Amino acid sequence: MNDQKQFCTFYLEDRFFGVEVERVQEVFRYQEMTQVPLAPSVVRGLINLRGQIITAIDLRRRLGMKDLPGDKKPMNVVIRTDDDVVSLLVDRIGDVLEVGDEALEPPPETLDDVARQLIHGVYKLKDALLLTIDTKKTLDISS
Amino acid sequence: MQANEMILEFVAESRENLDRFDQDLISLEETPHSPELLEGIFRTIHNIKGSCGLIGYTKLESLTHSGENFLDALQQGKVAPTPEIMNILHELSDSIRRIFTSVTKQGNEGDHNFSGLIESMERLRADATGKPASGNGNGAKPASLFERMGGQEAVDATVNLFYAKVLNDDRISHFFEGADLNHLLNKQKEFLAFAFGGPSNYDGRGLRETHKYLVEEKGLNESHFDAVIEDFGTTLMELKVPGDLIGEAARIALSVKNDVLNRTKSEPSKKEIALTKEAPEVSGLTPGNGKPEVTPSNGKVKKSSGSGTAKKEERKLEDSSIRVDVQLLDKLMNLVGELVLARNQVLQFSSSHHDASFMETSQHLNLVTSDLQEGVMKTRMQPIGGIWSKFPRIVRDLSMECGKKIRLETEGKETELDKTLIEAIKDPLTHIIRNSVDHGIEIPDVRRDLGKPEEGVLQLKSYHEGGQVIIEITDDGGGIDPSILKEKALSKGLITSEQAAKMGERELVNLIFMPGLSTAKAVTNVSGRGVGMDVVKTNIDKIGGTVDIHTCQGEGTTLKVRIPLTLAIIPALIVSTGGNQYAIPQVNLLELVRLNEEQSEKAIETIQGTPVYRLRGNLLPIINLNSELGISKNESAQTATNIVVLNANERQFGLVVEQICDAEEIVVKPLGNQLKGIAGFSGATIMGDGSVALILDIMGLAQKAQVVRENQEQAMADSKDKSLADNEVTDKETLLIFRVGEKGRNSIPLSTVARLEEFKCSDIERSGNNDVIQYRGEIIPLIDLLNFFDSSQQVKKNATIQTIIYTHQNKSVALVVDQILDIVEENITVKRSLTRKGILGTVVVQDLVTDLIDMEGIVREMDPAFFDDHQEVLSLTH
Repeated sequence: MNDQKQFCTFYLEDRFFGVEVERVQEVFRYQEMTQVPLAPSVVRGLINLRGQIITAIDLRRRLGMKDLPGDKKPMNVVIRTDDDVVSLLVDRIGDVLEVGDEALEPPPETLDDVARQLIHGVYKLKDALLLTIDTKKTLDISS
Repeated sequence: MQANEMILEFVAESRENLDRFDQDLISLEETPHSPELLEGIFRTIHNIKGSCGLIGYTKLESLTHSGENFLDALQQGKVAPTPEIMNILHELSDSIRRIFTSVTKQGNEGDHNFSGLIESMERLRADATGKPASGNGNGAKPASLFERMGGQEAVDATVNLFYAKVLNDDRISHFFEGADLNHLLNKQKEFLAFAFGGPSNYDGRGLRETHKYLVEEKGLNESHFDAVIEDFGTTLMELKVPGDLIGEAARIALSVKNDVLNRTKSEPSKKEIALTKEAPEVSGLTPGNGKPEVTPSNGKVKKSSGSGTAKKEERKLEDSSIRVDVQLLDKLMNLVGELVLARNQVLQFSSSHHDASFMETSQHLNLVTSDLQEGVMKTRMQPIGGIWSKFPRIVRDLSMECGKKIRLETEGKETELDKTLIEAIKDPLTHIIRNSVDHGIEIPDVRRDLGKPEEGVLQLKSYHEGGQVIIEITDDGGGIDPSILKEKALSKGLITSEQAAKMGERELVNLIFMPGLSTAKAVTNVSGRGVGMDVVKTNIDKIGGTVDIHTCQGEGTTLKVRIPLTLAIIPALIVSTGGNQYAIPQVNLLELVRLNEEQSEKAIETIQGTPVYRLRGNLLPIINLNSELGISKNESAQTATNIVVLNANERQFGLVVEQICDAEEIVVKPLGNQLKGIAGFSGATIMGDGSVALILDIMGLAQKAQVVRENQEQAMADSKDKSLADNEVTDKETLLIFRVGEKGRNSIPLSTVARLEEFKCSDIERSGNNDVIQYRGEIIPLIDLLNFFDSSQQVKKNATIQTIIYTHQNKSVALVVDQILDIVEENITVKRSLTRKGILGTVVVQDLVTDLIDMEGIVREMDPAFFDDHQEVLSLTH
């Protein structure tokens, strides 16, 4: 019996990422944000999501990647944790994929340090590699 | 699942009832025989017992059962409410609560053992009633009404209560003036025993004879009789006599009307009185067809018995309220917040469309939304009295424990505030009250010696003021001795002796809010308070409130707690800087100062690089919001400087912002976990246009910017001024305060100062052995005061130097100091003369020890020729 898991997928540059679908509350387009002075740079700002104020975290910066070039606007993937709702800013949204455990491998040792901390595993898909994100660690920006 | 909910519901409801139970108990101690209170108490326990049988909590049931019996006896007047009994009743309440705690925590009754309590209740009841300690007299069903009502004791109890009622009834009480009450009581007991079919030697004549005088001399008539019957009915109802028995008894009572009123018409025989089914042709009490249908709800009895009606209405009120989950209210609140935003957008949209009906609809939407918002807000408001109800009990128990006499006075318990806030202040308030009782108010002996009344008074007062709720807790106890606090804090190493020396009385008293101090037993014993006051402060700070303490030794202490009305919505000032909007809670706001471009250049001065503004003569430290937040200045069209004068923990400072927008009510939303660690923001809110604005944490900002001490000192100087007013003869003098070296605080009379100047170090030149500087076309010598006082000290090399220019007869000298601190007008007394050169003496300015500089002496020392006849000198130079 293989465990099947569903992932909400998205792209940063050409990298293909996924977050367990149960964690994702919703996905929406870029929205104006209020910047938070003094905050760590990964926090891009605050978003008013239907009356709820959520923090937007730039996943590119979180993974140590370069900022989205030019005037391209990121998308929001809203992640719900036990006590918080946070938006992850990503380049574009992919499909929801169902993958089996047999395709899972731990992230390669050669991955850079930050990324290895946050990437939970790699699913070997037919035409791509799906990197799954450890949401808890990703959102804990104090580390 | 549902059963569980039902149980929790039951527990919640019973807890509320127990709160009232406790309150009633306290009141009962004042009015021991109040039937209303006794009934209320009984009802509470009775209700709990009824419900717990349903749920199957045997322990609770046996406890409440025995409590009910005990209260029953109490209610019937068989047991007098002695202090011992009151204690037992309090214990009963506590025990039931303990079971409830187990129920909510563990889901069962827990393994408490209440046999001791049950035993003592049973014993007291048995002692009083002479009955075996189990079973209820009402249980059996003997034939006669007399026995059904509980025999002679019941009748006696009824009569006692009945008479108490009659005597309190204005309509009829005057008939009893000068009457032999004991005689009447006995007669009445005899009569009822007879009328209800018990053994009796009653002979009918007695009733006629007793009342004859009243009828003939005082005009006793039918209406009076009806009033008596009413009271009788109420009495029976209060004694929980079953409805059918009341009906029967009422009929019997009515039947003696003719006897009482000394009427001769149809004088029935004694047996007939008891048995007659044909009630006399009187008013409303007449039972329908003689069948025992006169129930407590009988129109007449209910309508006119004063206390009965009141209680009915009360019950109705209770029925009209429901319990709602607070989370649901929170959700509702959020939804309303969203609706408000949507409304705002619709309104914006509608104003750009010239469609009349659409405009009208959106206006309507606007009104309804506002009403809805207000309504939802109100659902969260609760009177503060809810938590106060616990305090009489706490005060009572604690004062008994400490052997003190304390009266608790409360005022303004109807003041409303947000539910979550009520929960949050419950513990701090309890703590303060405990402290006041435990440490504040003295024991009776001490009080008597001090000439105070033996009974201490603890006042609890709450009211609204400026959008805040103020709670004042005042005791008339011994107050707090700041010097003892100081010693304790010093010995604990919480403050250094330098700090202590600088502290004013008020600051010293505020030491009780320091964490380490609170645990020191000795402090609390001697000084009055302190256990866990830091926790009190932290908790109140957490909800955006403040605590002030005012104490007067020997006269008492007042703690003033200020809390916002609601956590969810606060009034705030919206400012904008660096292109973003920020909200400043109005709690912190004092005033706004606007300086136009021209003014602002001059008005904001700097002391050692720290900007200050003179606000009505006081130096106000200035913080620039842009630089604090590390945002770049919005360069476009900056014409004026806006200073928001803020108060953080009794310290004032000015916050420079680019633009002041508007005052608004904002909905406070928490920040996400990622932003929790940032000092400077306490939350965020959503503005009318849907954008997010951060709420500034003024305390955090002040701490971050390390707002200087000047103002604190100023506050101390203010308080010092008052206390000095009646001191020894002093001179009022304006002093310039400046710093020399690390700590040296010095002053000179301002009258001797010509100017204050700042020079660049590069402008200092040498002339002979002296540093000189060119100043206004003259060469003046520089005297470095630090060097003068202590030549071993290295003179620090700054880019600029601060100097005081001293001028005597056209000759000037510049004294180099490290920092100009302040200018103070104060009554000074030279406390101590020193033999140090250059020092005239020591004065206390703003509670700080300050050396008074001997300016002339110093100048003479450095330049002996300075005071020589200047004309000569001048002529020499010319």
